[in-house]
Amino acid sequence: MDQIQGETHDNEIIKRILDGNINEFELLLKRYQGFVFGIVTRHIPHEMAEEIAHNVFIKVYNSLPTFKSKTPFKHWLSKVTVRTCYDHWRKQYNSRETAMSSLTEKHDKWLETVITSRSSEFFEKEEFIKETRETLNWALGKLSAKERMVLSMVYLEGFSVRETATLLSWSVVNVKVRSYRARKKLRKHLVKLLEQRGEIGRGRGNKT
Amino acid sequence: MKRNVEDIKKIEEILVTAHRIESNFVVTQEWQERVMKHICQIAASKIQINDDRVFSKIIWRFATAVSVFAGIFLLYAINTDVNHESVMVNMFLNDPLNFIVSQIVSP
Repeated sequence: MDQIQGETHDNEIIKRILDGNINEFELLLKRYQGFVFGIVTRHIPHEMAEEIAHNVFIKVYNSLPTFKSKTPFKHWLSKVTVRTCYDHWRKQYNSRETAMSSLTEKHDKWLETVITSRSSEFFEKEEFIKETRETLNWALGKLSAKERMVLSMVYLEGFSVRETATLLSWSVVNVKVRSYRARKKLRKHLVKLLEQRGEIGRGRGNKT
Repeated sequence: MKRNVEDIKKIEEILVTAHRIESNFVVTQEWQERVMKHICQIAASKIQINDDRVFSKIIWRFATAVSVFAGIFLLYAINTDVNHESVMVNMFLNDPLNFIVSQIVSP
């Protein structure tokens, strides 16, 4: 869907922007902001989504001269977006600014609900979805930036290995190996979490 | 152990489902304006950089022309056996109106 019926073709808009008509960029911004936010919110917590999406569009503007019109703009844009999300995590992990938040008692209850209740009841409550996302964020925070990205793309979003490799500009083998290792690591952390919960439960039992 | 594996599978399924639920994120008008403002700033700084580049290009072209001219003059001076001391002496000696001397001496 590079061209939307009745609207100006992306390549035409890009040409005008490169000719110095900066205001035309607003057309691209309005056309693709939903698409960009759709990708960003899947990789980045909501409170940081605006900042990352902002960076995506700045990168797009700066890189427009290198855009080759042979590939659809939307495809190129998705690559830039994924890359920006990955860069964000890489920087965060390098500067060790990521808040490796520990799970609270609220999440302990979440875990208990998950194990004891039926799946169909879960997603009716907004609060449950929020807690699940927080738990997922906690678990992903235990992985490296590369593992985090590859795991969310292949395992959580269901992209194929080839698609992921294209979007991240990695080799297919690299994606395969990393996604396998990342999933194993995630499982290890979840097991640890379950064991901790068991210990806490036993501790509580002893106290009473 | 078997119970643990089942629990993990259940947790994983729920995490994946929660991740795939569309979030209703609302993009604000202020955000759009901020992005466009930033874009305009970048564009303005790019124009400034371009102007600086054009200016330095002209300067360097001018510098090249001056160097070529100085080179040619030097070659001419060597070939005609001219040095600035002899030129000065000639000027003082052939100064019937005392024009150069009066210019130097006068306050």
